[in-house]
Amino acid sequence: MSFSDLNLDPADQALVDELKAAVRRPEYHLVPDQAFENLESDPQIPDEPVAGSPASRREFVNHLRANAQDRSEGCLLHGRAFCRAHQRRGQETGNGMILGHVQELSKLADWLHDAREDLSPKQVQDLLRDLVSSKADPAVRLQEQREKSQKPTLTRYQMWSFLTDDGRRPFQAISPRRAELLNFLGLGSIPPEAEVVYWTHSLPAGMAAQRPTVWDTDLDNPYWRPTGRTEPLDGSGSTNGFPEVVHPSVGVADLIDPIGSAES
Amino acid sequence: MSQIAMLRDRTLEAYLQDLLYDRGAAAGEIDQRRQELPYHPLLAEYRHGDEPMRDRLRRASLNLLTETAHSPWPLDPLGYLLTFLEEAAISDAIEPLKSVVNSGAWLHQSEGQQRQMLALRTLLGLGWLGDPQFWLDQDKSLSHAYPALAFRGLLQHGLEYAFSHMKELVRNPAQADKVLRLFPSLIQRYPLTDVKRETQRALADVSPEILLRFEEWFESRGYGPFSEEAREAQREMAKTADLSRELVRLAADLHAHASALNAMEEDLQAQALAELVRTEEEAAKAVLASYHELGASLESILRKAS
Repeated sequence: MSFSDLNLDPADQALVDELKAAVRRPEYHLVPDQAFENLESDPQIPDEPVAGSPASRREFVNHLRANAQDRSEGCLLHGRAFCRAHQRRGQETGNGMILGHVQELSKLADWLHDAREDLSPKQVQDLLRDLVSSKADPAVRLQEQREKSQKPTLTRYQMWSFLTDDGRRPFQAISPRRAELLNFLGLGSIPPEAEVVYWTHSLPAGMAAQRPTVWDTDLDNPYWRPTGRTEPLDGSGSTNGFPEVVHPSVGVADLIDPIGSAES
Repeated sequence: MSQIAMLRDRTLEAYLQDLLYDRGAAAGEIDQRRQELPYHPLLAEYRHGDEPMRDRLRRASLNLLTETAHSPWPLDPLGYLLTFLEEAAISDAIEPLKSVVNSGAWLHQSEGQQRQMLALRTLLGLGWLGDPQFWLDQDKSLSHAYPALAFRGLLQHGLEYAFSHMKELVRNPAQADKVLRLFPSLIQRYPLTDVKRETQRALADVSPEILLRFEEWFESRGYGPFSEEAREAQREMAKTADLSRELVRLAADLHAHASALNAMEEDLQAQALAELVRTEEEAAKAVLASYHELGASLESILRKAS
């Protein structure tokens, strides 16, 4: 399964070639064209439309043709619009999972700093740092984080989370040290020096999680592999990674442990 | 390079508006995997762009700001635009924002108080000071819903000054919680001992419920003991109040004594006058008696002579 199996006409092939150039990441030392390879090889994505399956490569190319400008960046932006209309269509995973999530502290702070907030972005970062670094008992910390949160969800967009193979809690299986988290979860787009927060949560009743497809990756994420597992940045292979899922954003009420700050 | 760098003028403005609204192809600029917000790609472009690029983005964002005074934006995109202006430190936004605040242009739109707060928040972020009374007035006009904002405004005029007005801003535990959200930043900017001392002073005569909120904040972070020191400050304040009351009482006593003395003096003067009159009368009577005696003697002499 790949674009070559679609027998594209020259105009459509040119669009796909433009897209390949747009998602190429020369700075990614392992495989600069990995993002395009993901598009070609994701086994969850059919070449042609199939009822009940994630959107197909054919539909993707049709979308590009209908919308794309004659610039590679325009091609990428329209490609992302297609992705966002087809998120979370991968294979559904089981219920009752205990999940882990990792992201940059500044991004969480900026999300909390919304139009109802009278502090500055920097002041909200300080507030968040205070809440996640408190030396209080974890139960007290969690309670305080719940009380101080003014947002119904912890992220604006869908969340990527991971779980363990053996049922342990996520951060019992991986040390919450920044370098380890970024490496084993394949978080290459987070700058290595960025402050990182992590948390453990469950999904509220009625919310499902799916195995991510390439449409969940926004197209140009070379750090991802369509294996259903995270891909360590050190090239050690996904067997050293963790099972991963995507799901709608959860709120502080769904936290199992308080949000923590990764050690440097 | 993103699409932003390739666009000009009105096209750029329309594209930025789409980006801030998180819609259309422009929304593709946002890296959702990293949980970017709509203004993040714009800010990255501004920070890494050359001067002509930055100038274009400055002009486009200022034009969008002007537009919002006439045609209201939903709160979230408006917040993203203002956060971009603040984070990019575009000080040219100060005058338009002052105009928005002073004219009440946003205040009269739907969710007006929130919009006014956003304008004020951005002004503060851009380093505009305002005078102290301005911030206290804004606290009132925003129905005391954003005490941390007014406190931030007062802080521009000094830590002690801001704390000297804290009681006006914090009238209940909910307002205390709002102001406390600022404290992690406050102790980054000022020495902890100063913040603690000023808090204790400011809270010396507030309600126990408000005091408890601050006490919990300091003590749960290992910055205590707060309550003992605050209560000591409260006791000192109580002692001062007792002394003041005693002084007032003494002054009243003194005044009463002085009045009594005045009255006594007046009595004495009256008595002395009466005594004088009596003495004068007696003297006059004596003189009169002498005259009578003299007259009698003269009559006797005249009778003998005749």
